[in-house]
Amino acid sequence: MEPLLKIKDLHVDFLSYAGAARALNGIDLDLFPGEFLGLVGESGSGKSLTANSVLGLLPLKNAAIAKGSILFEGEELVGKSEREYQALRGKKISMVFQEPMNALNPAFKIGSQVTEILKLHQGVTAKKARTEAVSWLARVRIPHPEEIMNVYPFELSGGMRQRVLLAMALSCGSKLLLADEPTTALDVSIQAQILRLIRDTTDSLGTSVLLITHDLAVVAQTCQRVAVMYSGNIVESGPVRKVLRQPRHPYTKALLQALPHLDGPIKALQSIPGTVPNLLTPPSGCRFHPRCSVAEKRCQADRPKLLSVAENHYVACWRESHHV
Amino acid sequence: MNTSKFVAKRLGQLVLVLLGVTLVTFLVSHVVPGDPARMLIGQRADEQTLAAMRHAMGLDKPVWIQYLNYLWGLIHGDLGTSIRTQRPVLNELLSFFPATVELTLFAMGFAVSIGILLGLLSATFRDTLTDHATRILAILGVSTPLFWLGLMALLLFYKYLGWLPGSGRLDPLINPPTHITGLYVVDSLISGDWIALKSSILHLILPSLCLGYIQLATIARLVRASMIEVLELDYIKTALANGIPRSRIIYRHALRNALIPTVTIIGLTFGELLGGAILTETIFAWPGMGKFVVDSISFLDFPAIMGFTLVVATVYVLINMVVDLLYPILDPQIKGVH
Amino acid sequence: MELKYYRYFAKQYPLTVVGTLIILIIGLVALVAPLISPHDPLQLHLADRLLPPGHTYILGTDEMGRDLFSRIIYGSRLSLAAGVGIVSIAGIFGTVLGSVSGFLGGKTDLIIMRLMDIMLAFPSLVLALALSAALGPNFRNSILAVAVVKIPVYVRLVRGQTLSVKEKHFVKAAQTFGASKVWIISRHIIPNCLAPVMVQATLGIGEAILIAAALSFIGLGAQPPAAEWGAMVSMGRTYLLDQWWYATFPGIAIFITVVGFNLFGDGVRDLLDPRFRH
Repeated sequence: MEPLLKIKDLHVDFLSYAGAARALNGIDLDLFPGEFLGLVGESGSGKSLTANSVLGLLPLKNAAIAKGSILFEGEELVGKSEREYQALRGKKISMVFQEPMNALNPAFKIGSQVTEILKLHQGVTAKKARTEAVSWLARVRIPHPEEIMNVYPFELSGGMRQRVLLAMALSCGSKLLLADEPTTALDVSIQAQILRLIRDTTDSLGTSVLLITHDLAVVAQTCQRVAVMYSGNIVESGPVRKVLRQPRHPYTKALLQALPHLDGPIKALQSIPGTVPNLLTPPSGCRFHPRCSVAEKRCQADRPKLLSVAENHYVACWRESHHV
Repeated sequence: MNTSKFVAKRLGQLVLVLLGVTLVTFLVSHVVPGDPARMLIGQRADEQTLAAMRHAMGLDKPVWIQYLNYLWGLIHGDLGTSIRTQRPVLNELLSFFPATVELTLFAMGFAVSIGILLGLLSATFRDTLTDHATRILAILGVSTPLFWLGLMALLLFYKYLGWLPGSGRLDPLINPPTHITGLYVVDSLISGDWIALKSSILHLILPSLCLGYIQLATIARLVRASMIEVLELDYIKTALANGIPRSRIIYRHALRNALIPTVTIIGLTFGELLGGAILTETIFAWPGMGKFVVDSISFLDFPAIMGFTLVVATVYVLINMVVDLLYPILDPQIKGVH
Repeated sequence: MELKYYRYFAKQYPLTVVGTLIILIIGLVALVAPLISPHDPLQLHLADRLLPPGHTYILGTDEMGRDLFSRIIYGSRLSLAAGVGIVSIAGIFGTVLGSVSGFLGGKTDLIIMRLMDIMLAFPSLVLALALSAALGPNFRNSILAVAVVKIPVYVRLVRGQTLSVKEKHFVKAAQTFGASKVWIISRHIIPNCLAPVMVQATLGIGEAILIAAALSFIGLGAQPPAAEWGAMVSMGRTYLLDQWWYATFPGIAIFITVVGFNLFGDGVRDLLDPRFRH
């Protein structure tokens, strides 16, 4: 099957006053139609940056794609103009963010914000947009959607806002949903609800999802496949069951050891010595080697490639992939 | 919602502030000068006339009685009699009021519209030439002596270029339009008097632009700052991610929110403009309250000066209240709170 | 090292440097006015009335034949005195009132703050006009009037600062040792409010000069024949259309001075208050 989204060798640089920092260092990632893929890593590993690159939402002045390609439905996205991206955003690829509290415009009613997108992408009349908006709000299980249409964002809870944002993201038939930590800012009791909602809704629509999270428990509950990121690289990817039960990369192993069970988020990786590397002066070779308990000499010299170790299971580690 | 409660509370505050304002004008006119009676009749009056005057003015009574008398007078529209014109101050001020309103409204319109536009441009094209130019314009704006700017404008546009009239509200050969509101532009529009309309607009240009210029840059900087702040917010990213074009994001999603803090300073701007009108009207011989008060100064016409102070403060307080009442319409969150 | 630092500063804040230079130059001019003015600012040359700028009188003469250039040089003294005087008086009274209001709280606070609100209900030029008319039209009174009008700015600032300093441990400690209120306010509260007051005062000098000049312009400040810039513009206004230089040059002097203080004030604020850093 052809992947819906194919990221190949993506490099993104941050330009700061102190020099260029390679924030994404050659990402390879495939996402198939209807698939639910988790992208895990500590903050600063480049998860959000990957998603923002897909949608062309890098901060204009200080971040740029240095090389690589992003294919969506076989079409190259890198190098598209702002106008071309606009036609794509919200219509074919959508995104929901971490902070639902501030992600809706406080000055406009919910109805006006949902219908604006429908009118924009589908060119429907105001009346039609309204009935469609109501049905979308109902679809994300918002009670009394008619009334919610006339309400301002501040009158809604965080969970409700995230539902509205999800409805907005899906309302124009997007094939790909980029969900950037969609439940992190929410109350624990709401998190599972929203995750289930995302999964059920996208399931029924056949939408692919790239779920960005630092919470392995979330991945275990919702995703089919997972990719683990460390300092701008994908270090391991594969079916959730395989990666979580038989992790092959030392970093994944450490991540899993950091949790007693698969039911808590990664807070700080105290069990792994050292800190997330400074991107301005990243370690040579494998960027994980200074913190790796099994590092060898060649780990300092060369970067391992992401290679297959089993069916659909890829690892970027000299000790694993190259012994197969 | 509790809109009526909010309005009632705001009206209560209004009454208190207005009382406070009268207290200040009372203190300034009755207590600060030492002897208001002498101020009224001059230095050369003999003791007997002075005592009679004091008695007539109630100055021999306790201060708080004097204040109550003063308030009583105010309630009945008594602002005293102008020493210079020998007419009731209230009538004088009322006759000059429309001219001042017309001038400040035009200055306001100019400052707000161009100020918002400049602010938007410099926020959108941040750190470009436009942006630096508005920053410098802002500093020059708050540094220009308004009275001098008016004189320079007169020199350039009236004397040397001859493009615009230099004084008054109308060409002396033109009859004022039928009195409806007292604002010549509005009146001539209503009565279809195109000659008066053209002349009154031409006469408004120099004074209102000079008066507005001082405030324009301040507004532009404020709009810029709040625009930049808003453009960094999450909901702008949501809008972007949903494919809404950048221009629409700026002019619909961001501007609406960026203007909310701008509205609060519109009230303050009116205060500055009413103060500035004193100078502008003097320079352009604009027959408004400001010119009236400056004309009164050389006669030490104290009732006129204090009457002017009271009326301007009242207008200013009322405008600020209107702004406060309008605020919830722009910012739904405020409406929810009240 | 030092030089390098200054060069860096000049590059980062070119406008601040320009402002500082302007202030220094004007301060110097005011200081050595008698040495550099070619004529006595009050000396009448009745034969040389309203002369345009030329050899003898660089910037021309006024209707009494006084040398405008010398008058503008001497005028710097009055304008600097007005600007600094106004913010000093307002700053001192505002600091005292604000710290008392914030520290004592309760009824005192309520009364002082309501009073300030009421003063802010007047446009500043309007209240300054009324006050200086009541005090009697002269230069000293006009400064007093503007200073009074500006007091609320400092009261609000210092009150806010006091409320936060009040909660600090050293104040609490002093209270437990039985230190008197006057002692605490003068030894602990006020010293900790000085930095923001200084910034505000620096920022306020330009505006203070403008309002004082405006009062002189409408006849409430310095009286002729004093060499005060606002009063000079006012006199020059009569001759504007035929003797353009008379009103123009004193106005330029005000403008440059105020630009200098505003640029300098902006820079000081940027340096001391990180919130405003670009």
